[in-house]
Amino acid sequence: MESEGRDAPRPEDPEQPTTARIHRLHPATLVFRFLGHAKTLIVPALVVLLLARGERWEMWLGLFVIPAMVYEVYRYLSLRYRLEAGELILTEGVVFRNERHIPFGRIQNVDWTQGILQRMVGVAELRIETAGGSEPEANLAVLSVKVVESIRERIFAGRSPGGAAQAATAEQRRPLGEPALGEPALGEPDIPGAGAPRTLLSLPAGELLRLGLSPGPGVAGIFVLLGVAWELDLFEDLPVLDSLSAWWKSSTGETIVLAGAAGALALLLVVMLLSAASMVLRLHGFRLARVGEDFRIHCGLLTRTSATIPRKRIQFLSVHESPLHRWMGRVTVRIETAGGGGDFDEEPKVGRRWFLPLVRRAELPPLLREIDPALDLEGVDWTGPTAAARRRMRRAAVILSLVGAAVALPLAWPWGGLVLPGLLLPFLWLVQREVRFMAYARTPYGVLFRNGALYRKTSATFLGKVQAVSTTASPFDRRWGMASLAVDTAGAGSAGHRIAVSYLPDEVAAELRADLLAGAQRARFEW
Amino acid sequence: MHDLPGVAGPSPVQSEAAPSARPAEQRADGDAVPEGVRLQLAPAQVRLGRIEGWIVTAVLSVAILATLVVGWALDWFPAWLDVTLAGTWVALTGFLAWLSERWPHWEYRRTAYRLGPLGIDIWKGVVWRSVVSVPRSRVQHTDVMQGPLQRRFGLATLSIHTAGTEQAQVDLEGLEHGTALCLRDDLIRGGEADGV
Repeated sequence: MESEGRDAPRPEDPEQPTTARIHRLHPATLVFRFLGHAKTLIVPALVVLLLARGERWEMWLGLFVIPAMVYEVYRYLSLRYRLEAGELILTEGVVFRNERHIPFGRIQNVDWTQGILQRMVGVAELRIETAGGSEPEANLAVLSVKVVESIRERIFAGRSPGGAAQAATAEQRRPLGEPALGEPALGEPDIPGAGAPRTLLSLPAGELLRLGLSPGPGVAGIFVLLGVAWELDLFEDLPVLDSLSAWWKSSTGETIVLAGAAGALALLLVVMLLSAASMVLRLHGFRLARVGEDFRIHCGLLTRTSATIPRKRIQFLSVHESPLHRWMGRVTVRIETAGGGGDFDEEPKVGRRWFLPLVRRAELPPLLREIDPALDLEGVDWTGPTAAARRRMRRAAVILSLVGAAVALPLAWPWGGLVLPGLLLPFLWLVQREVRFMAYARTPYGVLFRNGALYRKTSATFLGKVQAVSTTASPFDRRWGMASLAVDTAGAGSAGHRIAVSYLPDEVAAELRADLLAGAQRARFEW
Repeated sequence: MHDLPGVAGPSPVQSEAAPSARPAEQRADGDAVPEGVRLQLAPAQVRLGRIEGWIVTAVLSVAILATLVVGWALDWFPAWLDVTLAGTWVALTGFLAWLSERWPHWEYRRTAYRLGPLGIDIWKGVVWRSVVSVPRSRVQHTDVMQGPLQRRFGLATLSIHTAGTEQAQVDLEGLEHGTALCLRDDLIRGGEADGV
């Protein structure tokens, strides 16, 4: 604490003695900020060096680097924070002063990340999010690991579900001075009074490999990129391709097909291995623990990430099953909290995107009960599509196939006709799978929805988290007397699924909307 | 507003399926919005919508015509295209004018709201028809906005903000200004009573 704690009294109100201390970021902040600037300035610096050819390069250096350094020192000196009366208070700026108060009770998530350099120095980047906005409310980069732990402990120990008021009283009960620190090792949360952390899931390397083997839509993207690169003749000058085309000309059809298949397989393997490697990098040592009413997640091989997610703040959750994982008997669980919308691929969001990266199907029910004791996906009364909905889905498959055939037939007479069965059979098969899985369920605590022909997703939300319910009827829906129903929550989209039930009979959709409105109004919304 | 005799407060509509009948009963200002009844927008919204439509039609058709005139002056198009382009321009202007005349009416017939003890339901959409239900306790805040044309007609837009994502803001455009204020007060009161 001493290293960055400039324990100055508050200059603004000397008449109000307080034990709260004003802190600055860790001095290493400057080093990391300079490194960040160096990264962005390296290209212009090289250009300058080449153009100036040693002449007056100092001037150019002064022009770019010195102002940046001065600005960073100014930023470092002007940013202060303090924890008092159940609030985190940030002050920034000297000329235009900005003071931001973040009540502990409003905080949705507390995440920290540690890059490899930061680990060597023993510092970390702390992000604190409330429900509003897409940016973290406070981004404290960097603080020493001890301070990060103590801030996190203060925030979650001094908080209760009621919000800031109770948080403040709880805070007053605690001595406001130096929080009891001890020597908390990173990744070993130790909160006095909150109970010992209970590990719910840890992922050995084998599970991470399994997770990586089903790389999801990213792979399709890689193949598309390869295709585009091929079309743009980016591979033109590669010597490998020259020899390949020479071999092509000298080979027979069968060998080409065999070699092509082998090449595709090899490519797929490489992609899978890369994906598995990235999983190991991101999720190495994954551990999900429950501490009191909070979930804690730690993971990462080089850059380590830690996220704290209050249980009550979970707005929405989604169970994903890719075909490969279903075959292995594994599922993935993602969650959504409010705030921090938008780019959920960002490293600190790892806790929501990968709440349970991979878990055995049989181990899922008790883990879901940790989120909410009533949460159960198996023993509920699922309602599948009506007979009319099934007919409509099959008809859509037939119409799509006919359109495909109508386009293909004139292009390749008469063999284009094969397109019809070639499309119709897979489409009907997919529809059949979708029809068997697609369903919704209204439970006492909320609403569930599942769908997906190959990649299956099952999602749940709670009445207390429902913000609005809407039904929509497209012109096609109206022909069939159907409507779709969507449930809106404050969740920021990190679960990659939403509750949007299609092909409901009109009156069922209207009833369900009214029923959910009533349920939501009765249930108290808690951020 | 003396020139707008049709402008009145919300009036109940009996049937959800055919929300066109509109009793002439007037509402005194300051009255609460009746609960549990499906209500329509102020009829002046149709006229406002038509004026907006005509403005868009005029701007688009003049812009296209100007392009065509410049094109003819500079001889961009072959002779056979001239008639086609002129015909297209006439047809497009006609279509836009027809749409400006009809669309506000369709939209008016399809837009409605119902305030209840639990929350508010809002019907919207001509082609894609939707109903949004917002529980009272989930209303974070509300805005009543008036554009220059809306002020001229005594109309307003009510925006209901929730903590949601896709339905973070639900707009109801074309309410009588007084009705919008009543609705706003009513929704905010509901929220307070719930203590959220």
